[in-house]
Amino acid sequence: MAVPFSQLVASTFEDVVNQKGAADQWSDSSFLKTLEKLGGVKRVPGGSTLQVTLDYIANAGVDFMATDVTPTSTAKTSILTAASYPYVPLVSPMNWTLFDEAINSDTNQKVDLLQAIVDNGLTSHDQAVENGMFAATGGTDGFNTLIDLYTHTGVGVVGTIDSGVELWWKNKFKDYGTDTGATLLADYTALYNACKKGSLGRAPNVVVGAAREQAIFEAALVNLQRFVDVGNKMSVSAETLAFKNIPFIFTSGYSGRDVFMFNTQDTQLFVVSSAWRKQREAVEYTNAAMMNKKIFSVLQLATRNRSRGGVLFTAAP
Amino acid sequence: MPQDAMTDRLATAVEEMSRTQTLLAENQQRMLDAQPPAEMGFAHPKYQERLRAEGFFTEFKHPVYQNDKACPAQGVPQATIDLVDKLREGRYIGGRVEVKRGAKGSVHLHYPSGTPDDRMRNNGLFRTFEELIDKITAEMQATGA
Repeated sequence: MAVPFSQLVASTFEDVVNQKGAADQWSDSSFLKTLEKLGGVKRVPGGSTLQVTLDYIANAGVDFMATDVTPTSTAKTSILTAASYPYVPLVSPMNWTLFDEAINSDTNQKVDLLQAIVDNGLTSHDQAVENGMFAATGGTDGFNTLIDLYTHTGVGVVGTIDSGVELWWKNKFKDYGTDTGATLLADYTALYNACKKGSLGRAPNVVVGAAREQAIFEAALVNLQRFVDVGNKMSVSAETLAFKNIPFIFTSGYSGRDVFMFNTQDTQLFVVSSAWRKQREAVEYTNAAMMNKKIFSVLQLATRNRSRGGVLFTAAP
Repeated sequence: MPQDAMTDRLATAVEEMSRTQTLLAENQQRMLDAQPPAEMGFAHPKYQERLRAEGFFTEFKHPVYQNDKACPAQGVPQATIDLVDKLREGRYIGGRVEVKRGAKGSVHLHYPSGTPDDRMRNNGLFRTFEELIDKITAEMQATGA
């Protein structure tokens, strides 16, 4: 009978080489990280619903006076309304057995199993948020998607306000068809200027789309070859792209053809500060030799100003 | 030349001509496919024409406000834009919607919409801006207002 272990196996340990735990094969939450960097993740105290007060007003009573005694409007100035959104809970549950925990002892661990599970729980959480922000129309269990916040016709019910009726609540939109090169850049400019409204208006400060759209945008740019240094070295393509100095982010959470642009002070990921990536205490199951720990968030993707954001879209495959 | 031989030659010539035309069409398509796509800049007249056709520069004939909020006209059908300008002052849709005209022709539509309840009730009366304008117009015509 053959021996169960070869001499090599019996004599030599595996050479386990890790860098800060297991190598992440799947997650990328670039857009969530960008939102955080740009102030687009807004920590709020929480409440029964998320409500943003809208004060985008054109006062109907404003008028140049024909004479200094021309009567002024006495109509009551009604200027405020609100958009209302529900908060949505997100949980990343982690379970492990007491046996797992016991045998992954310090001296024999390739990686710290519990640490790996918690790290994975956090990246899973962030990836879920990243994917949720670009989910198909209808959102994910009440969590809004940019696909609905910025629609191809500008209409849609957002924050309980129907922009099919309330035209002032419509978002901007531009069909870019099969445009390339200068025409594609013109499409971006048309949408950007429409969102900005005036030279000093609040401008979009982020552009986000799928990897493909970012690459098509890059292809529209010229002179992509640059010298790396004074030596005879050249680099093709750009590492980071921007449109009018605002970053063009591509996300792993979306593969469609829409490109969104908006200001992160208008459209934000609202998170309840006491429940944002909150790591709850690990607890022991009553009827199983197992532990449970949760990462928990309460959040919503919402906008307070649809008319200053928009979407570039195409029906082309 | 006998009649039959002439017919045969004619038929051959027609067939040859048809083949040549097909070949020409194929070559023309190949040439078109080989052309780089037109890349018009923003200022190109054809691009401007396209923007206009998409309604990018469409405006109401006079400014329109819904509860004092300025309305953009992009995406609003031309028929509705024409009707909005013909609205006359008054109360419509069971008195819920008030139309006022400003001194310079602006159109002001006032109706309760501050709360979700208001919006739900509005939704039962008019589901789109076009429907709102159509209903007011129909009432205007019915009452001769």
